[in-house]
Amino acid sequence: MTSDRIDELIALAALGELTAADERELDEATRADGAVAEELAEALASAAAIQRSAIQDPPPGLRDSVLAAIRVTTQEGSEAGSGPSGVGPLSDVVVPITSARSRRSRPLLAAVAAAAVLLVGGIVVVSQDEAGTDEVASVMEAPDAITQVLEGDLGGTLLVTYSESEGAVVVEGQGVPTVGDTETYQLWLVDDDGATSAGLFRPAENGSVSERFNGVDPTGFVLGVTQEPAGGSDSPTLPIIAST
Amino acid sequence: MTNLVPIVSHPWHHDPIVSSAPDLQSIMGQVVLGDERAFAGLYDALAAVVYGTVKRVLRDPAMSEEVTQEVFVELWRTAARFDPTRASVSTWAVTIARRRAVDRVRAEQSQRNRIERASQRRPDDVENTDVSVIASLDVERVQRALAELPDDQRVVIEMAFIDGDSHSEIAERLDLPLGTVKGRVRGGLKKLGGRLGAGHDI
Repeated sequence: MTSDRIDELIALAALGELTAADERELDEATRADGAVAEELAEALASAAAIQRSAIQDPPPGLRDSVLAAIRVTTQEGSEAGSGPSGVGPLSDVVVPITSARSRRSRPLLAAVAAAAVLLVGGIVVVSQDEAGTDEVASVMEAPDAITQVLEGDLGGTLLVTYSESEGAVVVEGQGVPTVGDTETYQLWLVDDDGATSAGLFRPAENGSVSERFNGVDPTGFVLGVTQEPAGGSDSPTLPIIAST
Repeated sequence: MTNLVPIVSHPWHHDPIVSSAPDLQSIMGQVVLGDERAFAGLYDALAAVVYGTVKRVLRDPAMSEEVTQEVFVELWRTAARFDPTRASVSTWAVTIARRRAVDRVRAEQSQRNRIERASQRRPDDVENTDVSVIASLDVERVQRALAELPDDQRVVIEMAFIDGDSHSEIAERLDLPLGTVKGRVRGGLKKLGGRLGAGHDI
């Protein structure tokens, strides 16, 4: 690769404008040559230094919303048995999250373990290794994913995420009260004309929810959750126990 | 907003430096173990930096809020991939923030909205903020280093990283070839790296 091309790729990385193909090319270049990796690190640090001066307080409600969202988000590398990776960690700085599963490098976790402070005040999140995890993840990780918190009398935390490009809605939750065999939760799209069912979901025994509903476009609707007899209902049985 | 990273004077530095590197790194050590309280501390330390970076690119406050949330969820989810030997916590966060903001621009259906927003300049840039911790170090040093750049590079660097413009927007506005813009970004960052010196990656 020419040094002009490397310079171009580093410029694009700093601008956040690498394409997937560019990124593979840059990954290869950084693995092949430590000097390129250092140049990239320095360029990203300089770009970050300028952008750090562009601070602005986010809206006050965002903090709660972020903290609610992470409570139902499983961390990568929190499951046992993920193998070591040969991928240089620097490249991870510019890796899209969608490729993360195949390149699980865990330098910080390793460093923490080495320092023998594991589990001091920490909670290890156990990954839910459910079928359909990738289907859920593809919505959560879509560039156009929009997440809202469902609020109401239902216990626990429920988040609903919509991706137009995926054409699907995902409901994720934690600490949601379980329901008996004869009952289910039902998600509704509600507007002035009434309520349309988006689908049914039941929490796992530990209260976690992770469900994808295809072909649902909530744009212009309020989302509501009710408790219904198993199999669901044609119209919601009030009260609505959580809504956007 | 809580300032977790106090400015301290180190005897071996002439300037006051921010002790954020070890602090944010140790916070990350807890975050990677799933510590939600530590993550709240990370949010407090970086929210204004991440939101500022995203908003420079997107301009729209509601969209910037959404993307900022996505960025923090990504920081949480991928915490184990952060490597303190290659980048500081804030560089890691800013790099992801920039990337996700650009992704959102690309995902937007309506190019027209983007152009309309691009034509609105931003009067609210550094005001309205009480987080001066990380920035207080950067602003002065970075401004000095920026001022020393040749004008052609400085203008492009400012448009890219202060205004949040893409390289094609810069090319269009300055009527320059795309390759020239990328070259000036790269050249400017190289000079800045040299001028900010080792250890500027807080």
